[in-house]
Amino acid sequence: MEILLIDSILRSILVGSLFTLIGIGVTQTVAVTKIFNFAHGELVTIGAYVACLITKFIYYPLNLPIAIISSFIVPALIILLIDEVVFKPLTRKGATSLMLMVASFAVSLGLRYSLYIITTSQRLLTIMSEISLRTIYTIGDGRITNLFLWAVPVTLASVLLLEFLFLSTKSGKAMRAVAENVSLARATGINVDYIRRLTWIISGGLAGIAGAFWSIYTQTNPEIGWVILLRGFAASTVGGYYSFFGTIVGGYLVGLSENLIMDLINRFFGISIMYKPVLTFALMISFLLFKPTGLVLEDVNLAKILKKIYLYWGK
Amino acid sequence: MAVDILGLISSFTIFFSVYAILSLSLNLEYGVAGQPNFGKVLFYSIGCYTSGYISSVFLLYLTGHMVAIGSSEAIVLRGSIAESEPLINAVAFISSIAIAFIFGALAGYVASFPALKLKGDYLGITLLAAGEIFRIVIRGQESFSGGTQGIAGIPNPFIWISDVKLRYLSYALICLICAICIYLYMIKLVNSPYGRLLESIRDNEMASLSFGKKVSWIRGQVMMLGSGFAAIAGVLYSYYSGFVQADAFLPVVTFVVWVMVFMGGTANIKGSFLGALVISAIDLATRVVSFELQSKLGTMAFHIDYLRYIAYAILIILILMFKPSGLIPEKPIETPAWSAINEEKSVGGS
Repeated sequence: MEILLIDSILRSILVGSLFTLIGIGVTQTVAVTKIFNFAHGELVTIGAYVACLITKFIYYPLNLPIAIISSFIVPALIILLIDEVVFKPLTRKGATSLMLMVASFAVSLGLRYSLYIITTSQRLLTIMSEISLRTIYTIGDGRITNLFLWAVPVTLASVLLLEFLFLSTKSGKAMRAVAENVSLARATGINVDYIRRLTWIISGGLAGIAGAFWSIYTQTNPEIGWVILLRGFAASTVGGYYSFFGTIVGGYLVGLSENLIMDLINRFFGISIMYKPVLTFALMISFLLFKPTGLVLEDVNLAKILKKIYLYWGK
Repeated sequence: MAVDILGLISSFTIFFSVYAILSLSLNLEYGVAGQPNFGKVLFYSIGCYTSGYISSVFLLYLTGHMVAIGSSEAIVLRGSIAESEPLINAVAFISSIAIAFIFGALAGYVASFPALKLKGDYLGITLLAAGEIFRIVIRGQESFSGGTQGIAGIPNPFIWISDVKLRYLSYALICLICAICIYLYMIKLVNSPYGRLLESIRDNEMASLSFGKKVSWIRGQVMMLGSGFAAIAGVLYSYYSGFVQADAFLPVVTFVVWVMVFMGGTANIKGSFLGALVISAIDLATRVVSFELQSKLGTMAFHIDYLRYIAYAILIILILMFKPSGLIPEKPIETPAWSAINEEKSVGGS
């Protein structure tokens, strides 16, 4: 069996983009609200279902853009509602972060099984997106699909947009301040509730977009969010939970380890591809144990790196 | 169609005992010693797999039947051998408990290393991921775990009793005795000087360290004890259901144990028993309701399990919101001095 090297790399980039989208949401919520949000995975699922349903009613060429937009909006609204009903009252009552984690696990379970009930009663338990994977270019043995051409640019665009938000807008700076120290931020007159809502919208929306892409990649069922969630956590862990740039690196690293590295291990050591998640979880645990601050230092950001590259080439 | 009352009682008792042991062990780890174990399902599944494997070793390999552990041949053989040789099966059951406790304790000791470095949520996520790793790895070990098919037909230790009701009733009695023994042991432990040491580590690690306590070793001990008990719960359950399969060991199991601990009250041993009672009552109620509905309506629109999990989710959120200390909050430790003061009070009052 020959290894499809370029195909493997392309798959790593595609899946890595999705993990990055999810990981950014995890990092954002951990930084601003201090919650390890297990319900994040269910937002991915909801996004996937919304995208699948949209593609049943709206046809090419508008189907994918509208699917992406609506799968941004619906999970964002749902997580806002959940925050108002569950997380905010709990935080106000002084729940420890562990209690919040258990509560988010409960929310995740509630959402997942509600989805099960809704989808089985509508006979939609596993559905496929109407958009099918098509190969557009081939590079050697690798295929660039229509999904690749959408997912990677959308991820990069949202990363750049968020980078701009954090560095150049007032809300973004306030968000970083809240992440650093909530009481201090409140004392300087930052509207913490507004920042919190903004964070939920960003993280929920990005999770939904990831779900929309994931629904094209595989079948959709209520479990996909849970399966992909721990990858998002891994991306966030590798990035160090507080670094935006680190999360991007982490997302692609997890994508790389699940596809390219797993393929290589499979090729040379004959270990079944079934153990793919083990690699990710092992990566996550080893980072938690040996380098809990993550891969990337906090003050590195895309703008600085671009500036460095620009200066280097300018000489 | 009438509901089989005796069968319900025995199944309720078995579920209650398994849940009670699990929640007691988590309460020891989290409530008393302050270590959030989000990988409870790992230690539970160690117990389940141990019983599957040990029962096969005793019933198949030692009697000279070399068949694959997950094959349908093995299922039939295990049943027939257990029926004809009840003594071997009893030995298999008892040694399963002992070996599961040892393996669970070893795994717990290994799991206490991350607990030294990490705190709170981070430890929780680490153990959760460890549980998932274990599940995926063991699913691939065909010769040990039966692969994705799992191991079916683990014979009940009372399979020689031909009356099914009596068989499960006597098994339920064994389970209940196990649970009560662990409960009494835990009460003794928590009220002993050792229990006070554990709570001191939970409340202020630095202070206990400065008194010369070996905090890391004691944490290891707690994880060993808790994980060993969780493995025993796994053994009791798998000898009842007769079935071990990797996809049953999802993190949801851990979550249910957490619901019990938070509901009953952290650091309160009686609370864990109460929590287990409530959850197993919900379990039983949903199963009876689903059974009745199914016999009335024919096929169901959806599985009743879904509603049960939603009920758990709502329940825990309500508990966390309105009664975060649980139904029975933590009580002062019953030291000799405390009981003497209490006696004096009651004497003085009368």
